[in-house]
Amino acid sequence: MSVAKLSPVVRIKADSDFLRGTIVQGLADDATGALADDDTQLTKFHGIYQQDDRDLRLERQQQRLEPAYQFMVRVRVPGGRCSAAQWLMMDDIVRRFGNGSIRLTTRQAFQLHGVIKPRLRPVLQHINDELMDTIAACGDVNRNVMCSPLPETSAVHRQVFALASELSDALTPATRAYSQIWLDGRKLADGDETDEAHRDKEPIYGATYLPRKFKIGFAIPPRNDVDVFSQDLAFVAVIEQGELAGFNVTAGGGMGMTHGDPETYPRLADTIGFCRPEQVLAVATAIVTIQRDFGDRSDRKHARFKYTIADRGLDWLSAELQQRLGFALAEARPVTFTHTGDRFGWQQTDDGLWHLTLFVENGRIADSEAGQPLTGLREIIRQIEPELRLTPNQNLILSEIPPEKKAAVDELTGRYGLDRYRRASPLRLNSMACVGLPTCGLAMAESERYLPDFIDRLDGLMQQHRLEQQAVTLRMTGCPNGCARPYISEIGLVGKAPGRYNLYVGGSAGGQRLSQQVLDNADEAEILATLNQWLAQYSAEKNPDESFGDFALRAIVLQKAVVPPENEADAS
Amino acid sequence: MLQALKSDNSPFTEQQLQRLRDGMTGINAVQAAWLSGYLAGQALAQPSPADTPANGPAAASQSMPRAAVLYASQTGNGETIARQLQSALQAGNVAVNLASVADYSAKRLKNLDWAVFVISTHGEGDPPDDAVSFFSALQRQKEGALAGLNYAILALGDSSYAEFCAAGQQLESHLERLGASAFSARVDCDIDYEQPAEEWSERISKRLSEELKPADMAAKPPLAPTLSIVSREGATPWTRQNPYAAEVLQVQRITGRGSDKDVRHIELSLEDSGIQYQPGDALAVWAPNDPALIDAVLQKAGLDGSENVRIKDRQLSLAKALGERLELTRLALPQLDKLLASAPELATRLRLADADTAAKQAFIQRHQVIDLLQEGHGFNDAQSFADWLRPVTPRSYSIASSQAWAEDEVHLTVVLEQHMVDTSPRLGLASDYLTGRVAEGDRVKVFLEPNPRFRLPDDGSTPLIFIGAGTGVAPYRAFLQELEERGDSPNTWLFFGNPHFQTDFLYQQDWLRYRREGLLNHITVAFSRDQAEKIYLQHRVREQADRLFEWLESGAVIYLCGSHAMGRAVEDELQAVIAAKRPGPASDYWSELVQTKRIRRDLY
Repeated sequence: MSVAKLSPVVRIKADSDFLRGTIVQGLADDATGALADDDTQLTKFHGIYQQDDRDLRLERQQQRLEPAYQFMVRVRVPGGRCSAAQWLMMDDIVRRFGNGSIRLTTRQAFQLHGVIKPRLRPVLQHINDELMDTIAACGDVNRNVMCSPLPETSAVHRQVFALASELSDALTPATRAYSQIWLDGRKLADGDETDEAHRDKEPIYGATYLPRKFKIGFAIPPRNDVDVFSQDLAFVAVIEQGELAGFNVTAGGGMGMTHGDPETYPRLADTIGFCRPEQVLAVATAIVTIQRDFGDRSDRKHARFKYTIADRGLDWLSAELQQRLGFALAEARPVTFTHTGDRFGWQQTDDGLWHLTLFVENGRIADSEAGQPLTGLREIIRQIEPELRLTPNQNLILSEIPPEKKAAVDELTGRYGLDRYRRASPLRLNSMACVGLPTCGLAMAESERYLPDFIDRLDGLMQQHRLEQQAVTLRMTGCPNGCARPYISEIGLVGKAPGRYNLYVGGSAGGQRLSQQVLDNADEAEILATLNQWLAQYSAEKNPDESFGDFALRAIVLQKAVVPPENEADAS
Repeated sequence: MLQALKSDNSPFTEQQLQRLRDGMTGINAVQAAWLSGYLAGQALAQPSPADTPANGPAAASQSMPRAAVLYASQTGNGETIARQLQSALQAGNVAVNLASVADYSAKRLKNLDWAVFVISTHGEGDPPDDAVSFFSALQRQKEGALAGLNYAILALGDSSYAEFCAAGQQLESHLERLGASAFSARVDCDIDYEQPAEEWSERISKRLSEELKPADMAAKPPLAPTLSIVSREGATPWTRQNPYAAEVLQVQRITGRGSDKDVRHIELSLEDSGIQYQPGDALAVWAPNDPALIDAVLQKAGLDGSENVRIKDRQLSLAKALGERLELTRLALPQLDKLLASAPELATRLRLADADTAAKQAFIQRHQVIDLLQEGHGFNDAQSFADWLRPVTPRSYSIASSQAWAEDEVHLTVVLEQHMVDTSPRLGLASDYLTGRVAEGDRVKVFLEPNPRFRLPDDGSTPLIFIGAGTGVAPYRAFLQELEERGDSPNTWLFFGNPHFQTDFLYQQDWLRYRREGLLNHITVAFSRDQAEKIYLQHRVREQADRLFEWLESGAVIYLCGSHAMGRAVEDELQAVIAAKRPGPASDYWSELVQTKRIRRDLY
């Protein structure tokens, strides 16, 4: 491939000296709140997105001020587990350096929004001081490794989580640029192994890293909360006689697409085999390097692993993998997924400890006139000191609580209005929205700020059709890149323009099937009118235990002659 | 008006004089003064061949006059008075030199018998910038050096500032120490200077006419070489007395949401006015008082506004006088004293009964006329109220555009002056008018105030350091536009200070664009309130000492624009930088910078 055909980002990476660029000079320039354009590509690898407050864009242009530049900082939380101390650090820095809110993401990470340039270093130093980091939270590398946060069998979970954590470490970029730029040359507090001899070699990634982002998840059936079929690579735990036998390996999932570009599409992962726990690291590393070597570096819209597989085929992948591993994957074993959502409320695990899953609407935790969840969580976590688990559905689990503290937790969640999980409709409890406006640079329509109002209206229709107890997964994104995984939900809304969305229906409750687009560029009235008609039909005609997604596929998508799903994933 | 002129003491025939007298009927003193300057300018611009022999050898053979009218003027008012005085003297065949003290060596004073000074005070009791070296030269002269010099001083000032007419007083004490004697008592004028200045001019003119008998009545009055209206930029019919009504094209807030400051970028149309301005000039604005404020004042004063009052020679209703003629937003010490003397209970209420001057000064800085009025204890009559009030003055703004770039527009950068008295806001007159009371399409009365001291150097390669805080950054926008239009690209460096980066970085987009395009080499900012400790421009000057000194050594000109406090602090730090970098007394290096006009100030 000639150099001229490479995407510009490839050049930026190659010239960056292992992700340094001119970030340090940009941080020192106090006449602008922004970094140099090329550096904004590199900071993603450090977990930092340059954004601006889009609500103020026009106004500030008229005021002859530059856009209100600010940064989103994404904190890696492998498997979604964090300690009370880490939470309290996050709580502290969002109030001191951010916009006063903690955002839980769809990949079990933390996001701080509204961090201005001079505060980036202090923020990153606090995060690293509490043994968390932001490196590779974004960028063309392996992102935060996801893991089902609360399987009912805690022993298996510990094993799976340990593997997820180990894999996260193994795939962390080795460059010292991160600590040099942000931590004043300090080594990462978690024991960066880099020494002079290995200085700025990237044994796994190389100097230009991956062609595109790479996402890995670990699921423990019957839960598919990590949406394994949306991941570039996933490990599905196979439990036999209560023991972890190994993992089915899935590859080539991905949500992102571009409006109007048929060459781009969401794709479900394929199951490519089975490996034993001790083979996980080798399998993952081999897959990552295959994508490194074969992924498309000329067109970033065609650079995800899903296109590599779609273009070359599964047989090629198996052969390539076998060559790199020196062994072939075993045949996948049967597993069953039943749902993607979280189970709210108290659950006890086999170690006798209790876990409380709280509903966090769209993952946003901020104090307002409506309530004080940020303050409430601070109080609870100070008093009770639970472990915390961030769920793939942007919710929060107060974890490992001894039985004698349950009552105190209930009292506090009630006092601070953190007990919405008791009251909210199943529709709301199974909803997700990406961040969208005003901070995300990609957003074309409202998402997080609008979904609660949309659900108010849709809840009304659900009641009208006596469906208020029916769980339906509903996901909204402000653009087609799919952060909230709308293409595998039962109802998906994908932003196209202010107030306008494409409507998708027909995904399965377990996340094994893509949904289909049924409305294009529709406004709220049209969407609600359409859903109203279908909910009426669903209420009247559904089979016993038939989910809305399954009904929609049967009665709406297929009857409307919408192109049926190309593949239905089977985890086995 | 031209009765004194005859065919034998003027260059005109009787017939011409009669026509001129007819033509001048109804022309007031101000218009006449303007006309004299205008005609002189026309004559100089198109020299008539007939003038040359008359002013040639005869003028050159005359001995230098032993009298001079010297002025130190900030806004041009002092210069105008000085010119009028000289014109009047010349009309009586009394030869006097006219010069700005900036161009006049203090050593030459000893060659004079008569020196007449028109000295304005600006800022906090300082002489105008270009008079500073004249003052310090006087200070260095030996006692008694000017024995034999007769002087008179007209001091101009504004009693709403702390050190009223201090420069005039300072000059007098220098002259006294040097043994000179006053031939006419010093007169201190407040902002309503026209009448006292006219009376003073008449006295001086009369006295000098008596003392300096024209050497040769037959000789033509020499044309003073410095009399050259055309050298004053922006000469158009539009003056303080006859302002141009400029259409408002845009009023745009340029501080971001959440800022404590309301700063507006204002674009006015000069259309066909003929006003030509240079970067560095100021535009003065006549602003009417806020009708709501007038109503409130009338109510508190116990008057209804329909009363007839006489202001100077005009009869008009009090309400109208308050609208356009009288000052309501600035107080002056004499005005306060006068009221306190007549109303002791007011002094008690305002806690000013035992206040010293400094305390009263602090009080008038934070209060307005309305704060001195008490319901039920109003003025007895409208006339005494009007007499107690001071005449309103125009407000000046450094122009934020280059005409080469903005063509028939002029841009201003205006911050709303406001402070709270109890729970009520007290707003600045013109800043409230421009930021809040005018709408696009309205017309605003303006006139140009040239500021030749604050110009770009002629040499387009001179390195330039622009230091400005708040709206003090306005003229630098004009400078950079001008450089861009001229195609000059000297090394340039902008220092800017304000409270907050996010909301108060005035014209940030412009500066960043100039930096991207290479016209602006460095931007150094000080945002005082973005961190726990306050950081001001002087701190940045200290941090940048090495580079600053390098630039100075390479011939850079430093511009300072903004408040006096900022200017002082930055200058102190600059002097410290020089002291640290250079052996020998820093003051010499500094004085040279000032004298060679490499420090240029526009402070207010």
